[in-house]
Amino acid sequence: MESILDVKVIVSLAAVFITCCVLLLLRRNQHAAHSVSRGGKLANAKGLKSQKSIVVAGPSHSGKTTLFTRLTTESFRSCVLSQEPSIKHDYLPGHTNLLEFPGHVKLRYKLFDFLKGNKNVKGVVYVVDSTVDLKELTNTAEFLVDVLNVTENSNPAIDVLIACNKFDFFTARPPAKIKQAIEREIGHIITRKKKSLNEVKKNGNSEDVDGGDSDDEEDSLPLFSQVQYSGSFNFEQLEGTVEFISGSAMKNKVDGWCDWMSELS
Amino acid sequence: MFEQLAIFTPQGQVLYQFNCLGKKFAESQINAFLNQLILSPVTKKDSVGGKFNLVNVQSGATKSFCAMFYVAKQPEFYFVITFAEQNLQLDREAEETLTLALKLWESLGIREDINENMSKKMDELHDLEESLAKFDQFLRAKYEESIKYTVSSTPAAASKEQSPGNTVGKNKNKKVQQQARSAPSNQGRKWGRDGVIEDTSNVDMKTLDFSSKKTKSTSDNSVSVQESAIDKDSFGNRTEGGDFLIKQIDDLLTTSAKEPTTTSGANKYANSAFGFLQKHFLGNKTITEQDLVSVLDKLKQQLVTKNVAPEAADYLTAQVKRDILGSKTANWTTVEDTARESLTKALTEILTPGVSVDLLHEIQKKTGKTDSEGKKSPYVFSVVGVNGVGKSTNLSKLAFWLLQNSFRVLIVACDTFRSGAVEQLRVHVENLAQLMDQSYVRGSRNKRGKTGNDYVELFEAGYGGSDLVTKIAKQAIKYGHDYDFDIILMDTAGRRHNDPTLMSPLKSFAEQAKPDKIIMVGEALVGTDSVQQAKNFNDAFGKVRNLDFFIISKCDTVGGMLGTMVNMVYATGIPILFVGVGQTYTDLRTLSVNWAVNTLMS
Repeated sequence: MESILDVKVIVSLAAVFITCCVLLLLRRNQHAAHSVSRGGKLANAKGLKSQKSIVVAGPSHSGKTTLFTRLTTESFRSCVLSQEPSIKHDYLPGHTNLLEFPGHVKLRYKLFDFLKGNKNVKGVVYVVDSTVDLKELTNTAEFLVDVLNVTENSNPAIDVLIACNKFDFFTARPPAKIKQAIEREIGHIITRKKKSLNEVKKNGNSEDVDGGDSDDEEDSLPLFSQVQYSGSFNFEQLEGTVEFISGSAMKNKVDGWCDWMSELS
Repeated sequence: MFEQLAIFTPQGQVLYQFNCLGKKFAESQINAFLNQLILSPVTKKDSVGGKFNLVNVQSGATKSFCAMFYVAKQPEFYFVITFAEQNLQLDREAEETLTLALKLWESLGIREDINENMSKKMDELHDLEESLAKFDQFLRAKYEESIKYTVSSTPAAASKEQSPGNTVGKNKNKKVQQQARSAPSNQGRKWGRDGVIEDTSNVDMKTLDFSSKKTKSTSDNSVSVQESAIDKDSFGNRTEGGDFLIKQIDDLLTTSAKEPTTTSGANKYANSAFGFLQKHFLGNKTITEQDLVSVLDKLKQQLVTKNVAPEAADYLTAQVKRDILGSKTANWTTVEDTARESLTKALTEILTPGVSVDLLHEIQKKTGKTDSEGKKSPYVFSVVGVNGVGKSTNLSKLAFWLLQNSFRVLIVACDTFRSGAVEQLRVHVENLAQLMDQSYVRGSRNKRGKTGNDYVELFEAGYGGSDLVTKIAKQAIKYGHDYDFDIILMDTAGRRHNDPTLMSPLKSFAEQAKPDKIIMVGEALVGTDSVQQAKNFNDAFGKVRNLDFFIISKCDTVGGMLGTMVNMVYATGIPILFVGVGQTYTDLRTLSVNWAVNTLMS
């Protein structure tokens, strides 16, 4: 009698175990398929993408990390070239995170990985070094074009703050001048980009890349069409608002930027 | 003496900085180092003693210097020491200082504190001032006491100078040496060639006796010692406090050395059934070395089947290991998936160009300027590569694109060796001329007696030796300048990359012709040899000149096997700009990193 009971128990336990395994396997496969189609993002990035966030970006040496430290710790610390994004959880009320991404050309993909298809980005703070010669803003403008292409593609369009940093310097240019120069530069860049060669897409002989295609479609650039009609570029043509506010992260003149951020949420 | 020591996070937060000369901390130096680190291929880094890496940094902004660095993991920190030049003494000093800094860092528990801060999602440096100040104090003291001595040419004399006629000083010096010996990794290296050390090792017991007596005497007035220990300046002077401090540091170091052995017991966990479940189903598992062995092997196999050279595949898998070893997998994520994601990241990083290349902008910038006679200087490209990779074909494609952007193009036949090379280019020029202007008659000459029309023209000077090549190049540039061309495209002879007699003329060619961009064409078909090809071609132009970018041709013929791209960028750190995907003039595309990575990972 007892031995039969034992067998029953063992069998039922085995059945439960097998069902569990099957379920787990299913979930795992689902998950794997999902992650590959998204182009393979970092495990922790997935979590962050589902939370509201404000993003700090900009070219190298514009003072992003200094600004980030200023905003999060209200202090000044010396810093060097960033290689990884910095994250401050719950920076603003309503569980809004503050993220700061490296500006080095080779590391910008981290920013775009995060921004693309992310509906929870409330705003982008694009830090600009206002001491840079207005004629040398090409790199700044190029990066900005890439950022705007993503923010404008989002629905609704993400607002952008151009934070003209280092305004305490003697050689700093006023925001209005910088805006003018960047608009002109972006106009040039767009005409150049139209002339450039297309990006390589899935070619006939290569194997099918299932998930990749829809992502590629998104790369079609909304800025281009707008300029085509009007001939020149200005920020008012954009769907999202672009504001220029000057300040200095080092000298703690960040009120304008803080106000802008608090108005977002 | 080294220049500065910095400890910082990959986020760019400087946790600690120390400038030997007492000057202001120079971020620009560290930035230059980081820039080089991000851009340069791995193959250019030498490792020192298998533990630390050494990089020679040359940049425009700062004068050239060496940087020795160590990257700690989980969480990630960079320990960087910079010094003026590479020599035995400085290398040794830097290595010792780094070792010391690492040990202090570990033994003071700063790492754990930061880990804790991070897990609470706080600022890394929260409440760390005290331990950082201690770290600073200890490091300075120890550096002054021991490491610096080894650098001075005669250590014994130097120690006498610093403590003249003072027996306490001498004894203390001995004691420091003794303790330096007891700290395991400092042992042989620091005092190995020092004569003094032999004496002290013979009288082991005596010195030990003395040191214990010493500590007794100092602990009597421990209150004052503690006070002075907090004061940084006290280490410059030879006070009792300073002496005590050294003892304290050494105690710290010796105790910390024992700690790591205790952690190995945790590995048993991985063998349990639950560990297995976590590894394959549940996720949320701390990744250990054992988990990774089979996974990394699998990934490497996959890369190799995609035509990635084993060397590059090894590097990439090492990157993955570095990235995820010791980290936790996310929920419902297997170790393999985590590794794949990390590999995707590593591939993206390696393929993404380190500089933004906007060719049209650069061309406009150069041709926009005019000299005193109102003439512009043309923008010069030259194309190099191994035989038969498609140099002429891709040059023509490039010419077609430039012609469409309404530039006037001069194509120069610098291949004076292979039979039919000039004729081949003539056919291309005639095709292009016809595409630009329907009325163009093939075989006709323009008003200057050359093949081509107003848009595109061929500059040729027959066949001959290698000295003819530079002659043609110089003539062509002058010709282009005189007749108002925007672009000069130079086709060169294909050459075997491992033959020095063929490669050496490239250097003088680059010096004489001074092309604005040197493009190397590599074919996607080639496989493992591409690493060496790219390396040799890049080196062929001498130290001051590098290749500017690659065109990878014949990508349509290999399907998903795009490994060559990874190989070439891995070997040189030079970006791929264009990809050739077919035979016609329109089959040139800019590289999409996403596309390449997805293809490689599928």
